[in-house]
Amino acid sequence: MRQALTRLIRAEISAHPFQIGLIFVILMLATATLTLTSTVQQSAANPWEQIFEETRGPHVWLVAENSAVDLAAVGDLPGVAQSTGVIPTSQDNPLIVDGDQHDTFLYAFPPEPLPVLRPLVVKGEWLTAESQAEIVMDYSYARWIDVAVGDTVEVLTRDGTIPLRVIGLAVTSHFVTYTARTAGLAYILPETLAQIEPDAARLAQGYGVRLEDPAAAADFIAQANTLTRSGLNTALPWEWVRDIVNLNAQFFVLLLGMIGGFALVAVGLIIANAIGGRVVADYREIGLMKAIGFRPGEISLYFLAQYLVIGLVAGVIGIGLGVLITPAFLAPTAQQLGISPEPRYDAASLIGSLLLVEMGVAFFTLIPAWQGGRVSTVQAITVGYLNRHRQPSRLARWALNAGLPPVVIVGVKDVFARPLRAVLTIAGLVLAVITAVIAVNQDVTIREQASDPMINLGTPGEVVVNRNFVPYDEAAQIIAAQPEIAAYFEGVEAFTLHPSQPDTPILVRAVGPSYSQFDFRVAEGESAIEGAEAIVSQGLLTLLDTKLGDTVTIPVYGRDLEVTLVGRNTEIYNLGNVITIPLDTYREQINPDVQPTLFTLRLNPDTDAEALKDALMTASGGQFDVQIAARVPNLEAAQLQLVVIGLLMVILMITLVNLLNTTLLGVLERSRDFGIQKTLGMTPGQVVTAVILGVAVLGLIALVIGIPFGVMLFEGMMAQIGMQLGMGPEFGLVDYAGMLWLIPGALLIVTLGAYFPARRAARTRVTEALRYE
Amino acid sequence: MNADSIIITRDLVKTYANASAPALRGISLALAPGEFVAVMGPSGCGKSTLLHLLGGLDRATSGEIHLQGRRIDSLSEAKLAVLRRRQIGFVFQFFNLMGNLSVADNIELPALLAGLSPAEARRRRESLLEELGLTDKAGVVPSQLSGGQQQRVALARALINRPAILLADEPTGNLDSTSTQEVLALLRRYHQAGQTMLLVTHDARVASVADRVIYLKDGQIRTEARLETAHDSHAVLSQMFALEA
Amino acid sequence: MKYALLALLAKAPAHGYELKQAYESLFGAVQPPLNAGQIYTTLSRLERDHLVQDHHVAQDDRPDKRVYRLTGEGEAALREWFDEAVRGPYLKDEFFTKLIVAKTSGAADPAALIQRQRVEYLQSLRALTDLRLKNPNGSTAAVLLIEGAILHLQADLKWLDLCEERML
Repeated sequence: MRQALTRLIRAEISAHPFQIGLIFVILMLATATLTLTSTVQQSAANPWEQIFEETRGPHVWLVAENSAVDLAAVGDLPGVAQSTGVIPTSQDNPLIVDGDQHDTFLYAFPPEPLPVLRPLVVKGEWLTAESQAEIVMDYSYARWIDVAVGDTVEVLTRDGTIPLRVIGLAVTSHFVTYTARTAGLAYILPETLAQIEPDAARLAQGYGVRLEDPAAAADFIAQANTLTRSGLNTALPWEWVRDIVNLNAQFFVLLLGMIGGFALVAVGLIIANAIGGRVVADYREIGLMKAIGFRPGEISLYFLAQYLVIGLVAGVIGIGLGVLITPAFLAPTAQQLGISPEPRYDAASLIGSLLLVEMGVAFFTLIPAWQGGRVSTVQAITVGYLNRHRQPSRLARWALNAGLPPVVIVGVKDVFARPLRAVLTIAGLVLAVITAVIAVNQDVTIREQASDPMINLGTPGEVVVNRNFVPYDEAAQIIAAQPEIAAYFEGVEAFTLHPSQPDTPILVRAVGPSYSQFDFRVAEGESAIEGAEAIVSQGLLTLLDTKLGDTVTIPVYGRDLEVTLVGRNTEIYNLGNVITIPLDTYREQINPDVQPTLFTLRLNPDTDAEALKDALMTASGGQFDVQIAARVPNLEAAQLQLVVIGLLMVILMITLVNLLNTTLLGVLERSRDFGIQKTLGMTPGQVVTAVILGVAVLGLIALVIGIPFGVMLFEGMMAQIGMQLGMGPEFGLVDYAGMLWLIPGALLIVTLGAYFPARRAARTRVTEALRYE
Repeated sequence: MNADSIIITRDLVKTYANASAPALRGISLALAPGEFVAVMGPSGCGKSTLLHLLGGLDRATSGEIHLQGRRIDSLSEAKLAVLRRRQIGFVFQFFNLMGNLSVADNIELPALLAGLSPAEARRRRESLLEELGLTDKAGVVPSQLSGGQQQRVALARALINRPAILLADEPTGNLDSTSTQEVLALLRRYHQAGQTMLLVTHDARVASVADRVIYLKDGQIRTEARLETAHDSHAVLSQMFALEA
Repeated sequence: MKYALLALLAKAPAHGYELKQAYESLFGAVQPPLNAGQIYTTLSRLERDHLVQDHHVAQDDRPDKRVYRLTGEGEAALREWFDEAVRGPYLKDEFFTKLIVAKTSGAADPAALIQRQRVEYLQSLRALTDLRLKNPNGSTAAVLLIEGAILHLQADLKWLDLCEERML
C-alpha cells in the first residue's frame, strides 16, 4: 500500500511538474511571510518591555534643569531599590553633523555599568576610561541623523565646537522615538561633559530609580516633586514611556498584523485554489484509483500525503527564506521604534508558522479530495464530466448582445464556469487590492501629513529659530533685520503636568499676537484666540476628557492657567497634548517677565531658506538654532513606508503566483476549447487576448469590490490611529487620483500572471486537443 | 488539375515527429467547385491527417496546398486562421461545440469572427436554425441535445460563413442510424445546392453519397471511384433479393 | 412465395385475386407486380400437396369464385416454416472464385478485380442510399429490405478491404 502510494506520488509530481512547482513556491512564500510577520511583530510588539529588563531601565526618570535642586536626595525616598545617582546632563549643546544642528541630551556616564540604566550597545562598543574624545549615541538617533560608528560629530559649546568620535550605538528603554523637534540622546564621559560645559551650574541633572514596587511610580513622582519643591522639569514614569513606545509600535504592529493577516488569508485562498484545482483536475485519476480498488479514505490519504510532504519541504525552505529577509525588514522597524535591530527568533513561533501552513494544506486538500472520493467512479472516468455545462454563460450572452468583439465573447464565457474557483480567485485579488489601497493611501497620508510641519511639529511657519543663549533684544533685532522674512511671531513653550494625568507631559505653547498672520489651520472651532482662549489638539481633549467650549485649568510653573477652549487644530507633536494660548495670556497668568525664545518665520516667496539660515547663523555667531520646517520627508515614516511597500510586494508576488496557477489550471482544463477556437479561425494572438481578458474580468471585479472596501477600512484605521496620535480623526488622507493608478496596475498584474498560460493556450495543437471525446 | 479547382494538393507529405514512417506519402488531388469527395481507407491510412492539412490545422512536411488559387501550405498560423474563418467549415466526429455557449451563439460566433456585422450574423444564424430544424433549441447548451441535433448545430456553424469548402471528419461516427440518415440527407441537400465538400469516413454508406470516393492506404491514394445517381434503383433491389417462390 | 400465400390464408380464406392484392400490398414496394398465372400455379401446387383446399362459391351474375382455405396440414406446414430459422449467409460465389483463380491463372490482376468489384458495390450502395433518401418514410418492408441490403453491401466492402490486405 505504501509502495503504491509512493509510486503514485512520484508519478503525480512528474506528470505536472510546473503546477506542483508553483504550489511549492506558494507554500514557501506563505511560510516565509508568516515567519517574517511573526518575527517582526514579536520584535515590534512590546518592544519596550524587552529592552527595559535588559537595560535595567528606570521605573522613574527625573530631570531637574536647575542645578541647585538636590536631586540626589530623591535616592533616599522610601521604595527606592536602586538608582543611577545624579547624571549630569546638558541640554544646550547641540551636535553638529554635516552643518546641521541637532538638539541633544548629553548624558555623562561612567565606563562601568550603573546599577540602573545600562544602555545596550548594538553596534560598536561602549565608552572606556580613555574615551574623552569619544561619544556613544542612541541607535535610533544615530540612524535618524545618519551617523554611523566611526564618524566624527561636533558638539557646539559657547566657545566653538569640540569633535567627538562615535564609537558605539546603544539602545535604551527610557526614551521615546524621534521627531524633528525631539532632542536626541548621547553618552559621553563626565570629563568630556566638563570640557563641553565647564560651569557645572549650567548643567541639568538626571536621575533614574528602580522601585521595589513598580506600580508606585506615580506616587513616587509626587513625593519627589514635593521633596524637590517642584523643582522637577521632567518626571517620566515607566508606564508613560512604555505606552508611548508601544503606541508607536501599535500603529506599526497594527498595520503589520493586518497586512500579515491579509497575506495569510490570501495565501489560504491560494492554497485552496491551487491544491483544490489540482485535485479536481485529478478526478479522473480518482475514478481510476477507485476502479482498481482504492478506498475513498485511501484516496484522501494519497492526496494528503502528497501535499503535506510538499508543504513540509516548502515550509522549511520558506522559514529559511523568512529568516533571511527578516533583518532587512527589521532594521527600519528598529530605528523607528527604538528597539534592537537584532531579530529575535522564537522557535515556537517558527514551528507554529510551519504548522499553520501545514494545517492550511491539510484542510484545503482534504475537502476536494474527500469530494472527489465521493464522485461516482463512472462519472469521474468519463472524460469531460467536469466540463459539462447546464446553462449557457450569461456573461458571454451579455457580451454578444452588447456587440462586443468575438474575442471578448470567447474570453469571458469561461470566467464563471467554475464558480467556486472564480470566487476564490476574486477574494484573493480583493485582498491584494485592499492592501494596495491601504499602501497607496498610507503613502499619501505619510507624505502629506507626517511631513507637514503643521501636523508634525505644530508650526505654521517655514523656519523656526531658537535664540538659545542670544539675548532676546539682540535676537529680535537680527530677525527683524532680515529682509526675506515676510512675517514672524514670537513664542515660548513649556512642558507641564496636569494633576489628573501626572504621567503625561502637556506642551503649553504661547504665541505672540503676530500669529494671527499665520494659518493655524483648525479643524473645528475658531482659529483666533484672544485673552483667556486657547486652541487645543485632539490629544489634549482626550487626555483631559473635555471638549471645545469648556474651560480648563492647567498648572504651569506653580501658577494656574485658566483658559476656554475655542478651537481644535491637528498636530501630532507631543501626541497632540498641546495647548496654544496668546503670549499675553501667558504673561498675564504665568510669568509676566517671560521673554520669547522662539521665532516662527514666514519667508517671502522664492526665498532660499538655506541661504536665510546661513545668514541667521552668521548674524548670531552660530548660536541660533535654525530649523527649516519645510516639507521634509519624514524619515521615520519613510522607514515605515519601506516595510509596508515590502509587504505589499510580497502580497503582489503571491497574487501573481496565484493568478499564474489558476489561469494555468483553467487553460489545461480547456485545451479542447482552444482547439475549437483555433479551428473556427482565432489566431494565436486572439487566443492569448481572450485568456487574458477572462482574467482581467476577475481583476476588474476585484477592483470594484476592493477599492471601496479598502478605502473604508483605511479611513477607519486612520481615524483610530489619528485619535491615538492625538491629532484627531482627520489623520487619513485618501488619494483618489493616486488610486486610479491601481487600475492599470491591476491590469499589469493580471497580464503578467496570465501571460504564460495564455501563450500555452495559444500553442495548443489542434489535432491533439480535438482527438478525444 | 483544373485552375478552377477549389482545392489542389501536390505531393503532400506529412511525417509526425517520433514516427518512423510518413503518415502521408505524396498526395496529389484536386476538388472541383461543387464536388463532393469522400476519402476512405483502413485506420492509420492517413485520411484524418489529410483533412487536418487541408484545413490548415496542421502543417505538411512538404508539398503544396492551394485553396481557391492561393498557396496556403507555408502561411503563418495567424494567416491560416484568418483564412479558415471565411473559407473553410469544419464538422467533426465528436461535434466540438463550445459547451457553455447556447446553440444559437455557437452558430453565430464564426460569423462574428469573420467580421460580419452583428445584424447580418444574426440573420444568417436564424435562417440556418430554421433550415436545420433547430429553432426551438436555440437557447440551450449543446449537452442538452442528442448527438444528431448537436451535429446539425455543428453543420450550421460550419456553413454560416458560406465557406468555399466544407471538411468533415467522420461526421456520423458518433451517431445512431437515424441521426446518420438525417446528417446524410443534409449533406446531400447542401451538396445539391452547390457546396464543395470533402468528407473522411470509414462508413461506406456515408461515402456512397459522394461524387467521388478516394481510397487511401499507407498514406497514398490507391484508387478512386466515380459514383453516379442510379436510374433504376428498384432493379438493383430486385436483383439482390430474389424471394423464394 | 408458397409459404407467403399459406401465411396470407392463415388469416382468412380468400380467392386468388384477393390473395394477389394482399401480397402486393405487402411486397409491392420491393417487387414488381405479380401476374395472375404465378398465383394460380402456386395455389394449384399447394392444393396438390394437400396444404390448401378450395371450394366453389356461387355468385350471381358472375362465374363461380374459387375460395381457397388452409388445411390442417397446411397449418402445420406453415408453423414448421416459421419455426425453422433460415440458414445463412450466402456468399457471392462467382467473385470469390474469380479472385482465387486470378492470381494462379495469371489472366487477371487481383487488385483490378477487387477495385472493379468495389466500384460495383459502391454504385449499388449509392442506388440504395438514393432510395432511402428519396423515401425516408417508406413502407416497413421497403425500409427493412433496403437497410438490409445496405448493411450487406457495407459488409461486402469490408470483406473486399480484407481481401486486398491479405492477397496483395
